[in-house]
Amino acid sequence: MKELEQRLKKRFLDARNGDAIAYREFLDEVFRLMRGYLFQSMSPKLRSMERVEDLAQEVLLSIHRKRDLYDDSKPLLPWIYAVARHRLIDSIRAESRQPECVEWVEKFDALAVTEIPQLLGEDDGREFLKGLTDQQQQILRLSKIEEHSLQEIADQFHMSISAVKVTIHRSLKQIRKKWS
Amino acid sequence: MRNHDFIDGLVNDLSTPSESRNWFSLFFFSWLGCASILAMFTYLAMSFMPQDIHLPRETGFSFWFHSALWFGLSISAALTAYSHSLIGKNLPIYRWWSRVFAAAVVVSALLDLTWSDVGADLSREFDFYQGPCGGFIFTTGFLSANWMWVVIKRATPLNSRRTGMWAAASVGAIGSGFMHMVCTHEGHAHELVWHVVPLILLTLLGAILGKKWIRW
Repeated sequence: MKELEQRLKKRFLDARNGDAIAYREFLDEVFRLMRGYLFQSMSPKLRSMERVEDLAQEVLLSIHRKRDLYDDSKPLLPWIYAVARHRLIDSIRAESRQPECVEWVEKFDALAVTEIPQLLGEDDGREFLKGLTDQQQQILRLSKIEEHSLQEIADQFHMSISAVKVTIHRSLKQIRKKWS
Repeated sequence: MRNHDFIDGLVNDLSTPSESRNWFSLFFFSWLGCASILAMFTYLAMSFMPQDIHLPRETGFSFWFHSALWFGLSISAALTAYSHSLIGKNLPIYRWWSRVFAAAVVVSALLDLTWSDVGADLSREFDFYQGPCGGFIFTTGFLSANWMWVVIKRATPLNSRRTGMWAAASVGAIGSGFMHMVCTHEGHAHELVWHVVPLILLTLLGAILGKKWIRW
């Protein structure tokens, strides 16, 4: 841990002096750290790789915007984890205030139920899936072509039903945006 | 956005000054600016009052003691808000001083009341014409607090409620302090109802709104 702290701090301080290479290495390493931390910290009901990566990006963005507020005389890792914890709490509060579009999934499902299976089954259906992660593609296939239930998909991917719905919704949204 | 592209974007943005640069100066000069504007508004407001004002008002130990309490509260609350705004800078000493000054302001206002006649004193104060200073303190304090919350958003406050509350108390206390120096109403009940209570309300509002508005 001490080595990690020293390594990160050196890169961060070099980055504040304008070293772009050090900054990239710093951000890469912090992103990996945050991914692990956030995955462990999130409730299993809300947890999904996409959400974790989105949140990890938000943490990096916060660190980037507030980089001049870090006090050199203090350890860096607690500062980073404090930012991450704050972002995580904010995300949980935002989720409880406005759950992500679960009802929308039902609405889009109704529209997509005739279109998407045909698109996904065709040879050039692969075009539609470009830009989606492997997990998104698999979930979309299982739900729209193989017509597995949400519970079965959730069990297979060790996710909650809400997380599966959100994944389907986001994938469809991405496809629509790409092809509109 | 894919992670690699996202990190590329941040690295390319490294040369752009961050929003948090020179934050201490920004905070300090914002607070000083609020204090100056409040002083100016207080003077202008008094200039338009219909009563004949004799400045400086009669001063004695009580006057200077209360003035010191108001401005001591303002400065200690500003330092508390500042320390709450930064991760790792939370210094209990500032919070301790702020609580001491806040308690001293309230307790001295209560102790100064003429308890034998407190009912009559207080009921006299619940009159629209006694209240312009309270409205002035609350309004100017609220507007200044909004500015301070905007500045604090550029920092990293982990507890937005407390930070918003102390920021509001700080600028509210400046207004109360200046108003205390020029207010023509001499009664202690007036001080309690129209100088202390608006500050308490402003502080509570700061806690409620700070939690909603100070998001970074």
